[in-house]
Amino acid sequence: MAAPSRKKKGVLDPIIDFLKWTWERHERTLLLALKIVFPSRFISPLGFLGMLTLIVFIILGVTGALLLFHFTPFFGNCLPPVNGTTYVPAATCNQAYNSVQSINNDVSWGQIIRNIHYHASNAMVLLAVMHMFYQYFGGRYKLRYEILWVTGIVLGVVTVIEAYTGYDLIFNIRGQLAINIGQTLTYYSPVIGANLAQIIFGFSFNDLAIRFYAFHVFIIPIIMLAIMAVHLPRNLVLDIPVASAITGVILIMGGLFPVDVGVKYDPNLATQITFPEWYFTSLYAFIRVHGLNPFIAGAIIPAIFVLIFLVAPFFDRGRKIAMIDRPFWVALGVASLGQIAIVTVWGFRAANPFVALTGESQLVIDPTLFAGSLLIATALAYGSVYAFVRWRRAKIDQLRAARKPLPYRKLAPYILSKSEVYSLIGGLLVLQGFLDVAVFRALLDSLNNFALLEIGMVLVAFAATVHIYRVTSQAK
Amino acid sequence: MDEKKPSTSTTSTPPAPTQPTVSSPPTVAPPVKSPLISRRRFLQGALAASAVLAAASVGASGQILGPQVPTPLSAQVIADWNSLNQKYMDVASTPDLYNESKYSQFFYWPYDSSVSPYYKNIIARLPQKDASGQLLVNPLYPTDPILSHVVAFNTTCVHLRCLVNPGYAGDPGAGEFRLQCPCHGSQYRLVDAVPVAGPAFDLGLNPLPQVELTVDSSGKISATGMKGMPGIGRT
Repeated sequence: MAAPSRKKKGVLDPIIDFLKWTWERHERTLLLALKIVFPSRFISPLGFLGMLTLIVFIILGVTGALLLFHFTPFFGNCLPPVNGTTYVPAATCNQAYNSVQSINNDVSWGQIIRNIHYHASNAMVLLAVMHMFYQYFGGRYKLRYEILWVTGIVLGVVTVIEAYTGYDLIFNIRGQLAINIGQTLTYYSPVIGANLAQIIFGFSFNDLAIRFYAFHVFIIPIIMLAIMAVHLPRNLVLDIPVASAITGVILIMGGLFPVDVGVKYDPNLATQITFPEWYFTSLYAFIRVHGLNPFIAGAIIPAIFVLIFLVAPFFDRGRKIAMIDRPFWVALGVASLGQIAIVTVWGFRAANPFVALTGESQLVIDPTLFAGSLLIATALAYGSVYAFVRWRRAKIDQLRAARKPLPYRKLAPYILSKSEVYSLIGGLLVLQGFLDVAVFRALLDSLNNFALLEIGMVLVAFAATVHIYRVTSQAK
Repeated sequence: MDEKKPSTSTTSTPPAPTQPTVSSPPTVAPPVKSPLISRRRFLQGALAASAVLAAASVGASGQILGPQVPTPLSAQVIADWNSLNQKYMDVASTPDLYNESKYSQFFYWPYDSSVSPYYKNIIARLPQKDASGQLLVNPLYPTDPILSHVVAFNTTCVHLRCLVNPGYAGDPGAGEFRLQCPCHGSQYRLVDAVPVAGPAFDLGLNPLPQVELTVDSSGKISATGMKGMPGIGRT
């Protein structure tokens, strides 16, 4: 980047020249048809959440590939309990779970990689949803972005399905409950339901294990890549510091909240209540509503929700994209966010949402309370946001009419002085060095979570270093 | 792809193939009489038909998606009447009467537990009387001296396929012997597995599949058939 200002030949110059040479040759490839921007200053990561989602997808691919070496997609032979003795689960039973457990306990680095895989999957779902809403509020489904928008929505749904197949593969009781629900919903779907359920879930649990394995590691990722090929916009922002920081944050989360394997599912033992993953507790809440058919609760309602977003560009036909010009759509977006929040939280709670769910008697949710609270919250969110946007619009119009300056804030960038740069970079390097040693020590003592936490911190420190580098090399 | 080649063959064949895309209305030289169907139309139709036939030849390949169904077990001894009855007699006059797991047991049939958890069934010695004083009798075998006191059901809840457990609804002595789903709270009567509470009841779903039983002279109870499908219920 800083090539013209450089005069002396440095040690790194041959390497930089080689990299430049390689980069230039990429002009002949498809890769450079994408306009990838490496921003030279900090820009809001909200604008390139899609790219961050892709990066997390790559992390998932890499960690998932590593986990393939140790995972057994096989349910195995569960012996029935012998009468009169305390039941001991057969070692041959639920081998998928056993293999995940051995990844967690025995395989070196297994726990670390699985932790990353788990937290990255959560991050991917979260980032995809955030990306969707940011683009939604930015009106980025208009202006010939329709195909990008529609493929994006489909990709989001497929991402959630991929996450679903992933957590079922562990075959803990949580995964098994998700399998139960998924299988029933598929069976309930009209006309092709029974056949579809046979194709997706197979007949036996061994079938199911191998099928979900195929779905999770090959079929759905391939579908995702195919959709991504269409969804990828031509202009991309690759912000190395933020990408590195996101990766670091995922690792830190993995270190702080290590994922456990859950309770082994054994068909010979009584079922227990568990919660689904957080992105499914909303459906869980709907399914628990009194008198609501599971197919409507678990399939039709979410489908309608997705459909509303899918068709948004075909109903929001105005040419303006600013939030302030689209009070209806902004209010709709906020209201739907509110709905997601309420229903998701409710999925974790008892029938009375202010009480934690502990017993079976608290499961069934009263439909009047549920629908009523949803309606009231939606109406309130919708109404207040709509009113606020209209009020703001009117105020700006007034200011315009009076030719007064509009109240936009602009922050002057903070320029680091030379000594600050040196001390910051130096400090960060020392920190990284210290953390690297600490990682090594932690691994020696097999303190996997410490190691993961520290690797994450190293990545965040790297992000800070790159950020300081790019800001200061620009400033002079 | 064929459009590229004509550059060599134009010399031999006079007019048409050089301009494949633009359909110049009346081709210059030959067609005086309009045929029933133009040559181009015919070729397009043939191409389409060929494509459809080619696709159809692999159309049945979806078969590979179907699962392999293992052979079901034939009739099998699943419980012993004497021991089951003894277990019931041991608790009949204690508070454990309201703990049906004391005198019931699970078994897998017609597929074992490694095939699918959905073939988990429960066999229970029916208590003599309900809280209301009503005699409890297996409706399939109301007169059989042994089988009228025994029921067996598939435990796959017809709501969302959780596996139900034996349980007692209400206070001991004031409620009903039931099968209870731990996931979403469906409850089935122990005597005939008809849903009486929870989502399975609210949605009017089917009773649980019932296992047909026989008993031999030594009191060995065998499963011989199942009325209904796991997860779907008895229709």
